[in-house]
Amino acid sequence: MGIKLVAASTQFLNRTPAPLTAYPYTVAFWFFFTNNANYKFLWGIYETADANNKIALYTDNGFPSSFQLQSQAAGTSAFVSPAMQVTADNSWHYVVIRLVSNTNRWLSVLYPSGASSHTQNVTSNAPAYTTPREAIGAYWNSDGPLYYHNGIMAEFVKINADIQADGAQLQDWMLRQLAYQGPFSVPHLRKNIIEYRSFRGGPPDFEEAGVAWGAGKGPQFWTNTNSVQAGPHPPLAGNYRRPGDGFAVVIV
Amino acid sequence: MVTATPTFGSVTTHTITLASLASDTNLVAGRAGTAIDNVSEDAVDAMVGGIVTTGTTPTTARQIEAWVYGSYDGTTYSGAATGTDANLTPSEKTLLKLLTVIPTVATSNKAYQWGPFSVAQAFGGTMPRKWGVFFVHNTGVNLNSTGGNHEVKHTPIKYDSV
Repeated sequence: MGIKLVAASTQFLNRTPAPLTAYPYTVAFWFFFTNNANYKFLWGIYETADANNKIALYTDNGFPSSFQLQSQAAGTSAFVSPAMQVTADNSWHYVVIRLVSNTNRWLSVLYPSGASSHTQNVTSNAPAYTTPREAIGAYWNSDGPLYYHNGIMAEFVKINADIQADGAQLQDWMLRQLAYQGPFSVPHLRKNIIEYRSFRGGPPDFEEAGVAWGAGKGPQFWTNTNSVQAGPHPPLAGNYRRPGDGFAVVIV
Repeated sequence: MVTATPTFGSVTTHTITLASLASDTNLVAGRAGTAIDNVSEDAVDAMVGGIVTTGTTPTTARQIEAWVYGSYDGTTYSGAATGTDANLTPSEKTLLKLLTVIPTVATSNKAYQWGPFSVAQAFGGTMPRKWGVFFVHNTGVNLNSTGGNHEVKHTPIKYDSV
């Protein structure tokens, strides 16, 4: 089961402080849009004290809308370009956000059709945080939570590294392997996974199943605001690797 | 002391007509193969794989999906499959178990060798009484029209006591 976000009920997950803000890091997840539209936020890290510093993924511009990965520092924004369209409602998309450095940010999407798309921004932009807040399904800065999203998220992973060592466009095989076999199927990523959350567990805290953390960050928790409920899970291959599945050899 | 060792049974070829299988943009309407009777076969697992060939000038960056369906009682199959080689629009595709997603390119008549995948793993570790495969694709054109350019086979895994 994923987490089902209902915008009309102002539902979202959040935590303060965000466990990781220093680049490079990678965030990836499956997302099922139930009503994609302008200016609704899927994931982001926001400075609690102001509205001028954040890194966030949202949907914008029209219906179907476009993915926008925004980095904002002291009020100046940098967006990945070109923007990529959401395919349609009622379809699963796999999203990978790679924050390589202040001058290299990537967004990769695996569409339900099987097509993939990648977009980048290399403009120097370094959000500054005093108290970073991380949210799923809403935007949350000094103005309070806003711009809630509709949809279902599952298989959330946060990795304290760029998953592709060269900082270049994500290779499609890696995108598909992450999507269908999971981050634990890639041995060299295991040691850098700071949080994996399948969201198979039920509310309120989705802790019962498929949760793992590591890389020195300790247990990670989310606050469930306004009763986010469980929703369907994306179909995953039978050989999808879960945290406890076997051993992995890391060649160093 | 008796030792149980894994053994590979005889390869079984599935009955499934993939030749000229129509494309479905929504990746729902596809083709199911005839069910395999595991009560007779008595396998603890089955490694399934095969070959699927795209048609003429498929659309680039699409996919072919291979799923398995199962039966909990030997009669009723998941997703409203019938257990026979027939076109199938599952009642809900996620009631089947995903084996693999094959990304395709625009090359005509390209053969994709897929598998082997564990059927038991797809069903959470235990083989169902009966099971079969289901294919669906959105390549934009029918799959290759020659039956011999497609195949699905499996090898049953059993244990011998020695």
